[in-house]
Amino acid sequence: MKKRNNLFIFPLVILLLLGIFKWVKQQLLWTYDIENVLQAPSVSSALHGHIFGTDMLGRDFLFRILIGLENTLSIGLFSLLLGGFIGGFLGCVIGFQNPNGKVDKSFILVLDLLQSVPQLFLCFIYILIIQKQWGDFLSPYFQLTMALAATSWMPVARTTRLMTRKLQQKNYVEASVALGASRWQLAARHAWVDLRQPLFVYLIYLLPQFFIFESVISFFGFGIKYPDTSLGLLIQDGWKMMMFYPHLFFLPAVCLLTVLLLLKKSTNRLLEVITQA
Amino acid sequence: MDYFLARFAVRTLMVLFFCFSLLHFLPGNPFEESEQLSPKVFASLSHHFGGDLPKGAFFEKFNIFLKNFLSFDFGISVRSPQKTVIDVVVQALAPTWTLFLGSMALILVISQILFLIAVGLELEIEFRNFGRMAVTVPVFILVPILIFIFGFQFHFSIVQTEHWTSWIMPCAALAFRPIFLFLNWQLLGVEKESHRPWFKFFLGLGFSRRQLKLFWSYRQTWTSNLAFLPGLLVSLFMGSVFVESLFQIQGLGFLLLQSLLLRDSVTLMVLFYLTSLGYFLFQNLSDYILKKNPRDEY
Repeated sequence: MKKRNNLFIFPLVILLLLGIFKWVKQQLLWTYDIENVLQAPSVSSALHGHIFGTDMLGRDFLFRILIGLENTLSIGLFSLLLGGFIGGFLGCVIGFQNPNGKVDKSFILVLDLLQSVPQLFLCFIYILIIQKQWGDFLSPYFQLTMALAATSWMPVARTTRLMTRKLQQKNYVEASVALGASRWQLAARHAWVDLRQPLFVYLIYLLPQFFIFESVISFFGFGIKYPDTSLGLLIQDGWKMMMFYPHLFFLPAVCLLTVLLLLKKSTNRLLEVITQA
Repeated sequence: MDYFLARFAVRTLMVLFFCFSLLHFLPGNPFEESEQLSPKVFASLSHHFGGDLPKGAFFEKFNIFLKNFLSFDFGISVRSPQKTVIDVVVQALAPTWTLFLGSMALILVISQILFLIAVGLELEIEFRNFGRMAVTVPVFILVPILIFIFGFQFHFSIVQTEHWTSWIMPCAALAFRPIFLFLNWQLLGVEKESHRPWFKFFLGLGFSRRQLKLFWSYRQTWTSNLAFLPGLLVSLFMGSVFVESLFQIQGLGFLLLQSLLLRDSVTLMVLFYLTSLGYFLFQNLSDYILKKNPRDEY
Protein backbone atom coordinates (compact mmCIF):
# COMPACT_ATOMS: atom_id res chain seq x y z
CA MET A 1 0.00 0.00 0.00
CA LYS A 2 1.27 3.45 -0.85
CA LYS A 3 2.38 5.39 2.20
CA ARG A 4 0.45 8.57 2.94
CA ASN A 5 2.61 11.67 2.60
CA ASN A 6 1.95 13.89 5.63
CA LEU A 7 4.32 16.60 4.51
CA PHE A 8 1.94 18.51 2.33
CA ILE A 9 -0.53 18.97 5.17
CA PHE A 10 1.77 21.60 6.66
CA PRO A 11 1.27 24.48 4.15
CA LEU A 12 -2.42 23.56 4.01
CA VAL A 13 -2.63 24.18 7.77
CA ILE A 14 -1.05 27.61 7.34
CA LEU A 15 -3.39 28.45 4.46
CA LEU A 16 -6.33 27.25 6.56
CA LEU A 17 -5.15 29.50 9.40
CA LEU A 18 -4.99 32.44 7.01
CA GLY A 19 -8.54 31.64 5.92
CA ILE A 20 -9.72 31.50 9.54
CA PHE A 21 -8.07 34.88 10.25
CA LYS A 22 -9.90 36.36 7.30
CA TRP A 23 -13.22 34.94 8.50
CA VAL A 24 -12.74 36.15 12.10
CA LYS A 25 -11.74 39.55 10.78
CA GLN A 26 -14.92 39.80 8.75
CA GLN A 27 -16.99 38.78 11.77
CA LEU A 28 -15.28 41.37 13.95
CA LEU A 29 -15.62 44.07 11.33
CA TRP A 30 -19.39 43.84 11.49
CA THR A 31 -19.49 43.53 15.30
CA TYR A 32 -18.14 47.00 16.10
CA ASP A 33 -19.91 50.21 15.46
CA ILE A 34 -17.59 52.21 13.20
CA GLU A 35 -18.88 55.54 14.50
CA ASN A 36 -18.01 54.65 18.09
CA VAL A 37 -14.51 53.40 17.38
CA LEU A 38 -12.73 56.60 18.37
CA GLN A 39 -14.70 56.87 21.60
CA ALA A 40 -13.50 53.49 22.77
CA PRO A 41 -11.00 53.27 25.66
CA SER A 42 -7.32 53.01 24.80
CA VAL A 43 -6.51 50.46 27.50
CA SER A 44 -7.47 46.82 27.72
CA SER A 45 -11.10 46.44 28.58
CA ALA A 46 -13.23 43.43 27.91
CA LEU A 47 -16.22 45.29 29.35
CA HIS A 48 -16.58 47.31 26.18
CA GLY A 49 -16.58 44.20 24.03
CA HIS A 50 -12.94 44.45 23.02
CA ILE A 51 -11.30 41.24 24.21
CA PHE A 52 -7.73 42.51 23.74
CA GLY A 53 -8.63 46.13 24.42
CA THR A 54 -7.96 48.88 21.91
CA ASP A 55 -4.89 50.63 20.56
CA MET A 56 -4.04 54.29 21.00
CA LEU A 57 -6.45 55.31 18.25
CA GLY A 58 -9.30 53.30 19.76
CA ARG A 59 -9.16 50.51 17.17
CA ASP A 60 -9.92 46.99 18.33
CA PHE A 61 -6.55 45.40 19.11
CA LEU A 62 -7.58 41.81 18.40
CA PHE A 63 -8.58 42.91 14.92
CA ARG A 64 -5.22 44.66 14.44
CA ILE A 65 -3.33 41.58 15.65
CA LEU A 66 -5.26 39.37 13.25
CA ILE A 67 -4.45 41.67 10.33
CA GLY A 68 -0.80 41.76 11.45
CA LEU A 69 -0.63 38.02 11.85
CA GLU A 70 -2.17 37.47 8.45
CA ASN A 71 0.34 39.82 6.79
CA THR A 72 3.31 38.34 8.63
CA LEU A 73 2.33 34.76 7.84
CA SER A 74 1.47 35.38 4.21
CA ILE A 75 4.57 37.47 3.43
CA GLY A 76 6.84 34.92 5.12
CA LEU A 77 5.17 32.01 3.36
CA PHE A 78 5.03 33.51 -0.15
CA SER A 79 8.57 34.88 -0.03
CA LEU A 80 9.89 31.51 1.08
CA LEU A 81 7.95 29.68 -1.64
CA LEU A 82 9.27 32.08 -4.27
CA GLY A 83 12.83 31.94 -2.93
CA GLY A 84 12.56 28.17 -2.51
CA PHE A 85 11.53 27.76 -6.13
CA ILE A 86 14.40 29.93 -7.42
CA GLY A 87 16.96 28.38 -5.05
CA GLY A 88 15.74 24.84 -5.70
CA PHE A 89 15.91 25.30 -9.46
CA LEU A 90 19.37 26.91 -9.41
CA GLY A 91 20.76 24.40 -6.90
CA CYS A 92 19.46 21.50 -8.97
CA VAL A 93 20.95 22.85 -12.22
CA ILE A 94 24.32 23.64 -10.64
CA GLY A 95 24.37 20.34 -8.74
CA PHE A 96 24.32 18.45 -12.03
CA GLN A 97 27.34 20.36 -13.34
CA ASN A 98 30.88 19.06 -13.05
CA PRO A 99 31.72 19.27 -9.28
CA ASN A 100 35.08 20.93 -9.85
CA GLY A 101 34.09 22.84 -12.97
CA LYS A 102 34.14 26.59 -13.46
CA VAL A 103 30.35 26.98 -13.22
CA ASP A 104 30.17 25.16 -9.89
CA LYS A 105 33.13 27.05 -8.40
CA SER A 106 31.79 30.43 -9.56
CA PHE A 107 28.36 29.62 -8.12
CA ILE A 108 29.86 28.75 -4.75
CA LEU A 109 31.90 31.94 -4.84
CA VAL A 110 28.76 34.00 -5.43
CA LEU A 111 26.93 32.15 -2.65
CA ASP A 112 29.85 32.69 -0.27
CA LEU A 113 29.85 36.37 -1.14
CA LEU A 114 26.10 36.79 -0.60
CA GLN A 115 26.16 34.80 2.62
CA SER A 116 29.12 36.67 4.07
CA VAL A 117 26.83 39.47 5.22
CA PRO A 118 23.80 38.90 7.44
CA GLN A 119 20.72 38.03 5.39
CA LEU A 120 18.79 40.78 7.08
CA PHE A 121 21.35 43.39 6.06
CA LEU A 122 21.09 42.21 2.46
CA CYS A 123 17.32 42.30 2.73
CA PHE A 124 17.41 45.93 3.91
CA ILE A 125 19.59 46.83 0.91
CA TYR A 126 17.25 45.04 -1.50
CA ILE A 127 14.28 46.87 -0.02
CA LEU A 128 15.96 50.24 -0.58
CA ILE A 129 16.72 49.26 -4.18
CA ILE A 130 13.19 47.96 -4.84
CA GLN A 131 11.68 51.09 -3.26
CA LYS A 132 13.84 53.26 -5.50
CA GLN A 133 13.27 51.34 -8.72
CA TRP A 134 9.66 50.12 -8.42
CA GLY A 135 8.38 51.91 -5.30
CA ASP A 136 5.75 53.84 -7.26
CA PHE A 137 3.78 50.87 -8.52
CA LEU A 138 4.59 48.08 -6.04
CA SER A 139 2.81 47.98 -2.70
CA PRO A 140 4.95 47.57 0.48
CA TYR A 141 3.53 44.03 0.71
CA PHE A 142 5.06 43.03 -2.63
CA GLN A 143 8.25 45.02 -2.02
CA LEU A 144 8.83 43.08 1.16
CA THR A 145 7.92 39.73 -0.42
CA MET A 146 10.34 40.33 -3.29
CA ALA A 147 13.17 41.46 -1.00
CA LEU A 148 12.73 38.45 1.27
CA ALA A 149 12.57 36.06 -1.68
CA ALA A 150 15.77 37.60 -3.04
CA THR A 151 17.52 36.72 0.23
CA SER A 152 15.91 33.34 0.85
CA TRP A 153 17.08 31.54 -2.32
CA MET A 154 20.75 31.27 -1.24
CA PRO A 155 20.58 28.71 1.58
CA VAL A 156 18.05 26.71 -0.43
CA ALA A 157 20.30 26.70 -3.50
CA ARG A 158 23.31 25.61 -1.45
CA THR A 159 21.41 22.75 0.17
CA THR A 160 19.79 21.62 -3.10
CA ARG A 161 23.17 21.63 -4.83
CA LEU A 162 24.56 19.39 -2.11
CA MET A 163 21.57 17.06 -2.27
CA THR A 164 21.80 16.85 -6.07
CA ARG A 165 25.48 15.98 -5.87
CA LYS A 166 24.67 13.17 -3.45
CA LEU A 167 21.93 12.04 -5.80
CA GLN A 168 24.45 11.67 -8.62
CA GLN A 169 26.23 8.97 -6.67
CA LYS A 170 23.15 6.74 -6.69
CA ASN A 171 23.21 3.59 -8.79
CA TYR A 172 20.25 4.44 -10.99
CA VAL A 173 21.81 7.77 -11.97
CA GLU A 174 25.10 6.12 -12.89
CA ALA A 175 23.17 3.50 -14.88
CA SER A 176 21.17 6.20 -16.69
CA VAL A 177 24.35 8.12 -17.54
CA ALA A 178 25.94 4.89 -18.82
CA LEU A 179 22.87 4.33 -21.01
CA GLY A 180 23.27 7.79 -22.50
CA ALA A 181 20.91 10.00 -20.47
CA SER A 182 22.02 13.63 -20.30
CA ARG A 183 22.37 15.60 -17.06
CA TRP A 184 19.48 17.84 -18.06
CA GLN A 185 17.20 14.86 -18.59
CA LEU A 186 18.13 13.54 -15.17
CA ALA A 187 17.62 16.91 -13.54
CA ALA A 188 14.23 17.40 -15.18
CA ARG A 189 12.83 13.88 -14.72
CA HIS A 190 14.38 12.37 -11.59
CA ALA A 191 15.97 15.00 -9.41
CA TRP A 192 12.70 16.75 -8.62
CA VAL A 193 11.08 13.48 -7.49
CA ASP A 194 13.97 12.60 -5.21
CA LEU A 195 14.59 16.08 -3.88
CA ARG A 196 11.08 17.36 -3.21
CA GLN A 197 10.70 15.75 0.22
CA PRO A 198 13.98 16.89 1.84
CA LEU A 199 13.67 20.28 0.14
CA PHE A 200 10.20 20.72 1.48
CA VAL A 201 11.34 19.89 5.01
CA TYR A 202 14.18 22.37 4.65
CA LEU A 203 11.79 25.09 3.51
CA ILE A 204 9.54 24.45 6.49
CA TYR A 205 12.64 24.60 8.68
CA LEU A 206 13.41 28.06 7.27
CA LEU A 207 9.85 29.35 7.66
CA PRO A 208 10.10 30.74 11.24
CA GLN A 209 13.19 32.68 10.19
CA PHE A 210 11.17 34.47 7.50
CA PHE A 211 8.39 35.37 9.89
CA ILE A 212 11.07 36.90 12.10
CA PHE A 213 12.62 38.75 9.13
CA GLU A 214 9.26 40.18 8.11
CA SER A 215 8.56 41.34 11.66
CA VAL A 216 12.03 42.83 12.08
CA ILE A 217 11.86 44.77 8.83
CA SER A 218 8.44 46.15 9.71
CA PHE A 219 9.68 46.84 13.27
CA PHE A 220 12.35 49.16 11.84
CA GLY A 221 9.83 50.82 9.53
CA PHE A 222 10.99 49.45 6.17
CA GLY A 223 8.23 46.93 5.58
CA ILE A 224 4.47 47.20 5.90
CA LYS A 225 3.26 50.81 6.20
CA TYR A 226 0.23 52.38 7.90
CA PRO A 227 -2.77 52.03 7.76
CA ASP A 228 -1.96 48.36 7.09
CA THR A 229 -0.11 46.55 9.85
CA SER A 230 2.04 43.57 10.69
CA LEU A 231 3.17 42.00 13.95
CA GLY A 232 6.54 43.81 13.74
CA LEU A 233 4.82 47.17 13.35
CA LEU A 234 2.48 46.43 16.26
CA ILE A 235 5.43 45.42 18.45
CA GLN A 236 7.22 48.63 17.50
CA ASP A 237 4.13 50.69 18.42
CA GLY A 238 3.75 48.75 21.67
CA TRP A 239 7.41 49.22 22.55
CA LYS A 240 6.99 53.02 22.43
CA MET A 241 4.08 52.86 24.91
CA MET A 242 5.32 49.89 26.92
CA MET A 243 5.66 51.69 30.24
CA PHE A 244 2.03 52.87 30.25
CA TYR A 245 0.19 50.23 28.19
CA PRO A 246 2.26 47.01 28.33
CA HIS A 247 -0.54 45.01 26.67
CA LEU A 248 0.13 46.83 23.40
CA PHE A 249 3.60 45.26 23.33
CA PHE A 250 3.04 41.93 25.02
CA LEU A 251 -0.03 40.75 23.09
CA PRO A 252 1.54 40.91 19.58
CA ALA A 253 4.87 39.70 20.99
CA VAL A 254 3.26 36.66 22.61
CA CYS A 255 1.32 36.03 19.42
CA LEU A 256 4.51 36.03 17.31
CA LEU A 257 6.40 33.92 19.86
CA THR A 258 3.57 31.37 19.96
CA VAL A 259 3.61 31.04 16.18
CA LEU A 260 7.40 30.67 16.14
CA LEU A 261 7.51 28.12 18.95
CA LEU A 262 4.66 26.09 17.47
CA LEU A 263 6.38 26.06 14.11
CA LYS A 264 9.69 25.08 15.66
CA LYS A 265 8.06 22.31 17.65
CA SER A 266 6.15 20.97 14.65
CA THR A 267 9.25 21.19 12.45
CA ASN A 268 11.22 19.13 14.95
CA ARG A 269 8.39 16.59 15.03
CA LEU A 270 8.24 16.56 11.24
CA LEU A 271 11.98 15.94 11.05
CA GLU A 272 11.63 13.05 13.50
CA VAL A 273 8.84 11.53 11.39
CA ILE A 274 10.89 11.89 8.20
CA THR A 275 13.99 10.40 9.83
CA GLN A 276 12.00 7.44 11.13
CA ALA A 277 10.34 6.93 7.74
CA MET B 1 48.82 29.34 2.78
CA ASP B 2 49.05 30.66 -0.80
CA TYR B 3 45.70 29.06 -1.59
CA PHE B 4 44.03 30.82 1.34
CA LEU B 5 45.61 34.17 0.46
CA ALA B 6 44.55 33.83 -3.19
CA ARG B 7 41.04 32.85 -2.14
CA PHE B 8 40.85 35.85 0.18
CA ALA B 9 42.02 38.19 -2.61
CA VAL B 10 39.49 36.83 -5.12
CA ARG B 11 36.66 37.13 -2.62
CA THR B 12 37.65 40.68 -1.70
CA LEU B 13 37.60 41.64 -5.38
CA MET B 14 34.18 40.05 -5.80
CA VAL B 15 32.82 41.88 -2.75
CA LEU B 16 34.12 45.16 -4.14
CA PHE B 17 32.54 44.53 -7.53
CA PHE B 18 29.24 43.63 -5.88
CA CYS B 19 29.37 46.77 -3.71
CA PHE B 20 30.15 48.89 -6.77
CA SER B 21 27.17 47.42 -8.66
CA LEU B 22 24.79 47.80 -5.72
CA LEU B 23 25.90 51.39 -5.16
CA HIS B 24 24.54 52.34 -8.61
CA PHE B 25 21.04 51.13 -7.71
CA LEU B 26 20.81 52.45 -4.15
CA PRO B 27 19.05 55.74 -3.41
CA GLY B 28 21.45 58.56 -2.55
CA ASN B 29 24.35 57.14 -4.56
CA PRO B 30 27.22 59.36 -5.72
CA PHE B 31 26.59 58.69 -9.42
CA GLU B 32 23.24 60.45 -9.83
CA GLU B 33 21.72 63.51 -8.18
CA SER B 34 18.89 62.80 -5.76
CA GLU B 35 16.86 64.51 -3.08
CA GLN B 36 18.61 62.43 -0.41
CA LEU B 37 21.93 64.25 -0.92
CA SER B 38 22.52 67.97 -0.56
CA PRO B 39 24.24 69.52 -3.65
CA LYS B 40 27.44 70.12 -1.65
CA VAL B 41 27.66 66.54 -0.36
CA PHE B 42 26.75 65.12 -3.77
CA ALA B 43 29.46 67.20 -5.50
CA SER B 44 32.08 66.00 -3.03
CA LEU B 45 31.06 62.32 -3.22
CA SER B 46 30.62 62.42 -6.98
CA HIS B 47 34.12 63.82 -7.40
CA HIS B 48 35.52 61.26 -4.96
CA PHE B 49 33.96 58.23 -6.71
CA GLY B 50 34.31 59.44 -10.30
CA GLY B 51 30.60 60.19 -10.68
CA ASP B 52 31.52 63.20 -12.82
CA LEU B 53 33.10 60.94 -15.45
CA PRO B 54 31.08 60.20 -18.64
CA LYS B 55 28.34 57.56 -18.36
CA GLY B 56 30.12 54.87 -20.37
CA ALA B 57 33.36 55.02 -18.34
CA PHE B 58 32.45 51.96 -16.28
CA PHE B 59 35.95 50.54 -15.83
CA GLU B 60 37.45 53.95 -14.98
CA LYS B 61 34.79 54.40 -12.31
CA PHE B 62 35.38 50.90 -10.96
CA ASN B 63 39.11 51.56 -10.90
CA ILE B 64 38.60 54.69 -8.76
CA PHE B 65 36.16 52.80 -6.51
CA LEU B 66 38.65 49.96 -6.11
CA LYS B 67 41.49 52.31 -5.18
CA ASN B 68 39.32 54.18 -2.69
CA PHE B 69 37.95 51.07 -1.00
CA LEU B 70 41.27 49.24 -0.88
CA SER B 71 42.92 52.27 0.74
CA PHE B 72 39.92 52.72 3.11
CA ASP B 73 39.28 56.20 1.74
CA PHE B 74 35.49 56.39 1.49
CA GLY B 75 34.91 60.14 1.22
CA ILE B 76 32.76 62.34 3.44
CA SER B 77 29.83 61.10 5.50
CA VAL B 78 26.28 62.06 4.52
CA ARG B 79 25.23 62.07 8.18
CA SER B 80 27.92 64.49 9.29
CA PRO B 81 29.66 66.02 6.23
CA GLN B 82 32.47 67.55 8.30
CA LYS B 83 33.74 64.01 8.99
CA THR B 84 34.88 61.25 6.66
CA VAL B 85 33.08 57.89 6.56
CA ILE B 86 36.07 56.08 8.01
CA ASP B 87 36.10 58.52 10.99
CA VAL B 88 32.42 57.83 11.61
CA VAL B 89 32.99 54.08 11.38
CA VAL B 90 36.02 54.15 13.70
CA GLN B 91 34.08 56.27 16.19
CA ALA B 92 31.20 53.77 16.12
CA LEU B 93 33.56 50.82 16.41
CA ALA B 94 34.51 51.46 20.05
CA PRO B 95 31.05 50.90 21.64
CA THR B 96 30.38 47.93 19.36
CA TRP B 97 33.74 46.44 20.26
CA THR B 98 32.93 46.74 23.97
CA LEU B 99 29.53 45.16 23.32
CA PHE B 100 31.12 42.33 21.31
CA LEU B 101 33.79 41.62 23.93
CA GLY B 102 31.27 41.63 26.78
CA SER B 103 28.92 39.37 24.83
CA MET B 104 31.71 37.00 23.82
CA ALA B 105 32.78 36.69 27.46
CA LEU B 106 29.19 35.95 28.48
CA ILE B 107 28.74 33.47 25.63
CA LEU B 108 31.90 31.57 26.54
CA VAL B 109 31.33 31.50 30.29
CA ILE B 110 27.60 30.72 30.35
CA SER B 111 27.65 28.23 27.47
CA GLN B 112 30.52 26.31 29.09
CA ILE B 113 28.75 26.20 32.46
CA LEU B 114 25.58 24.95 30.75
CA PHE B 115 27.64 22.46 28.77
CA LEU B 116 29.23 21.03 31.92
CA ILE B 117 25.83 20.78 33.59
CA ALA B 118 24.30 19.11 30.52
CA VAL B 119 27.05 16.53 30.13
CA GLY B 120 27.60 16.06 33.87
CA LEU B 121 23.93 15.31 34.49
CA GLU B 122 23.58 13.49 31.16
CA LEU B 123 20.84 15.87 30.06
CA GLU B 124 22.24 16.66 26.61
CA ILE B 125 19.01 15.99 24.69
CA GLU B 126 16.91 18.09 27.08
CA PHE B 127 19.41 20.98 26.90
CA ARG B 128 19.57 20.78 23.12
CA ASN B 129 15.78 20.83 22.84
CA PHE B 130 15.60 23.79 25.20
CA GLY B 131 18.37 25.53 23.24
CA ARG B 132 16.47 25.02 19.98
CA MET B 133 13.43 26.67 21.54
CA ALA B 134 15.43 29.50 23.11
CA VAL B 135 17.02 30.55 19.82
CA THR B 136 13.59 31.19 18.33
CA VAL B 137 13.06 34.18 20.65
CA PRO B 138 13.86 37.20 18.48
CA VAL B 139 16.16 39.87 19.93
CA PHE B 140 13.65 42.66 19.23
CA ILE B 141 11.20 40.93 21.60
CA LEU B 142 13.81 39.88 24.14
CA VAL B 143 15.32 43.36 24.61
CA PRO B 144 12.05 45.17 25.44
CA ILE B 145 11.12 42.34 27.83
CA LEU B 146 14.51 42.66 29.57
CA ILE B 147 14.10 46.42 29.77
CA PHE B 148 10.55 46.04 31.08
CA ILE B 149 11.52 43.53 33.78
CA PHE B 150 14.89 44.84 34.92
CA GLY B 151 14.64 48.49 33.93
CA PHE B 152 11.07 49.42 34.78
CA GLN B 153 10.29 46.95 37.57
CA PHE B 154 13.68 46.59 39.35
CA HIS B 155 15.06 50.02 38.30
CA PHE B 156 18.21 48.49 36.86
CA SER B 157 20.35 50.92 34.86
CA ILE B 158 19.29 50.86 31.20
CA VAL B 159 20.83 54.21 30.30
CA GLN B 160 24.39 54.02 29.02
CA THR B 161 26.83 55.55 31.49
CA GLU B 162 30.57 55.40 32.06
CA HIS B 163 30.05 52.68 34.65
CA TRP B 164 30.58 49.12 33.45
CA THR B 165 27.32 47.85 34.97
CA SER B 166 25.33 49.72 32.31
CA TRP B 167 26.77 47.30 29.74
CA ILE B 168 25.41 44.18 31.46
CA MET B 169 21.91 44.34 29.98
CA PRO B 170 22.95 45.10 26.36
CA CYS B 171 25.63 42.38 26.49
CA ALA B 172 23.18 39.87 27.99
CA ALA B 173 20.59 40.68 25.33
CA LEU B 174 23.14 40.29 22.54
CA ALA B 175 24.58 37.11 24.01
CA PHE B 176 21.29 35.33 24.75
CA ARG B 177 20.78 33.66 21.35
CA PRO B 178 24.47 32.86 20.60
CA ILE B 179 24.82 31.19 24.03
CA PHE B 180 22.33 28.52 23.02
CA LEU B 181 23.63 28.31 19.46
CA PHE B 182 27.15 27.70 20.77
CA LEU B 183 25.92 25.24 23.39
CA ASN B 184 24.00 23.25 20.78
CA TRP B 185 26.98 23.29 18.43
CA GLN B 186 29.24 21.94 21.17
CA LEU B 187 26.78 19.32 22.36
CA LEU B 188 26.40 18.17 18.76
CA GLY B 189 30.20 18.01 18.40
CA VAL B 190 30.53 15.87 21.55
CA GLU B 191 27.73 13.63 20.31
CA LYS B 192 29.56 13.13 17.01
CA GLU B 193 32.78 12.32 18.86
CA SER B 194 30.98 9.63 20.83
CA HIS B 195 30.41 7.66 17.60
CA ARG B 196 34.12 7.47 16.78
CA PRO B 197 36.12 4.24 17.20
CA TRP B 198 38.40 5.65 19.92
CA PHE B 199 35.38 6.49 22.06
CA LYS B 200 34.06 2.95 21.79
CA PHE B 201 37.52 1.58 22.51
CA PHE B 202 37.85 3.49 25.77
CA LEU B 203 34.26 2.65 26.66
CA GLY B 204 35.27 -1.00 26.36
CA LEU B 205 38.19 -0.38 28.71
CA GLY B 206 35.79 0.59 31.46
CA PHE B 207 35.69 4.40 31.23
CA SER B 208 32.26 5.90 31.73
CA ARG B 209 30.51 7.78 28.92
CA ARG B 210 30.41 10.92 31.07
CA GLN B 211 34.14 10.77 31.83
CA LEU B 212 35.03 10.38 28.17
CA LYS B 213 32.73 13.18 27.08
CA LEU B 214 33.93 15.62 29.72
CA PHE B 215 37.66 15.00 29.47
CA TRP B 216 38.26 13.84 25.89
CA SER B 217 35.41 14.71 23.53
CA TYR B 218 35.20 18.20 25.01
CA ARG B 219 38.84 18.88 24.13
CA GLN B 220 38.38 17.44 20.66
CA THR B 221 35.48 19.77 19.85
CA TRP B 222 37.43 22.95 20.54
CA THR B 223 39.24 22.92 17.19
CA SER B 224 35.99 22.53 15.28
CA ASN B 225 34.52 25.40 17.31
CA LEU B 226 36.73 27.71 15.25
CA ALA B 227 34.47 27.09 12.26
CA PHE B 228 31.63 28.54 14.35
CA LEU B 229 33.46 31.86 14.83
CA PRO B 230 32.79 33.64 11.46
CA GLY B 231 29.06 32.90 11.62
CA LEU B 232 28.98 33.99 15.25
CA LEU B 233 30.55 37.35 14.42
CA VAL B 234 28.05 37.99 11.63
CA SER B 235 25.21 37.00 13.95
CA LEU B 236 26.55 39.34 16.67
CA PHE B 237 26.78 42.20 14.17
CA MET B 238 23.14 41.84 13.18
CA GLY B 239 22.12 41.43 16.82
CA SER B 240 23.95 44.66 17.61
CA VAL B 241 21.59 46.53 15.25
CA PHE B 242 18.67 45.75 17.56
CA VAL B 243 20.53 46.06 20.82
CA GLU B 244 22.21 49.34 19.91
CA SER B 245 19.06 50.89 18.50
CA LEU B 246 16.93 49.89 21.50
CA PHE B 247 19.55 50.88 24.09
CA GLN B 248 20.60 53.96 22.08
CA ILE B 249 24.26 52.91 21.89
CA GLN B 250 26.07 54.82 19.14
CA GLY B 251 27.83 51.79 17.67
CA LEU B 252 28.10 50.13 14.26
CA GLY B 253 24.61 48.61 14.40
CA PHE B 254 23.13 52.01 15.19
CA LEU B 255 25.18 53.50 12.35
CA LEU B 256 23.80 50.87 9.96
CA LEU B 257 20.24 51.71 10.92
CA GLN B 258 20.86 55.45 10.63
CA SER B 259 22.44 54.93 7.20
CA LEU B 260 19.40 52.97 6.08
CA LEU B 261 17.03 55.68 7.30
CA LEU B 262 19.07 58.52 5.81
CA ARG B 263 19.69 56.57 2.56
CA ASP B 264 23.44 57.00 3.10
CA SER B 265 24.42 54.48 0.44
CA VAL B 266 28.20 54.97 0.72
CA THR B 267 28.24 54.18 4.45
CA LEU B 268 25.98 51.20 3.79
CA MET B 269 28.39 49.84 1.22
CA VAL B 270 31.33 50.49 3.54
CA LEU B 271 29.62 48.46 6.27
CA PHE B 272 28.81 45.75 3.73
CA TYR B 273 32.44 45.67 2.60
CA LEU B 274 33.86 45.59 6.13
CA THR B 275 31.45 42.88 7.29
CA SER B 276 32.27 40.68 4.30
CA LEU B 277 35.97 41.31 4.74
CA GLY B 278 35.80 40.39 8.43
CA TYR B 279 33.78 37.28 7.68
CA PHE B 280 36.18 36.07 4.96
CA LEU B 281 39.20 36.86 7.13
CA PHE B 282 37.91 34.77 10.02
CA GLN B 283 36.68 32.05 7.69
CA ASN B 284 40.11 31.82 6.05
CA LEU B 285 41.84 31.83 9.41
CA SER B 286 39.66 29.07 10.80
CA ASP B 287 39.98 27.03 7.60
CA TYR B 288 43.73 27.46 7.66
CA ILE B 289 43.92 26.36 11.28
CA LEU B 290 41.68 23.39 10.61
CA LYS B 291 43.87 22.65 7.54
CA LYS B 292 40.86 21.82 5.49
CA ASN B 293 38.09 23.60 3.72
CA PRO B 294 34.74 22.12 4.73
CA ARG B 295 32.72 24.75 2.88
CA ASP B 296 34.03 23.67 -0.51
CA GLU B 297 32.52 20.29 0.12
CA TYR B 298 29.26 21.76 1.36
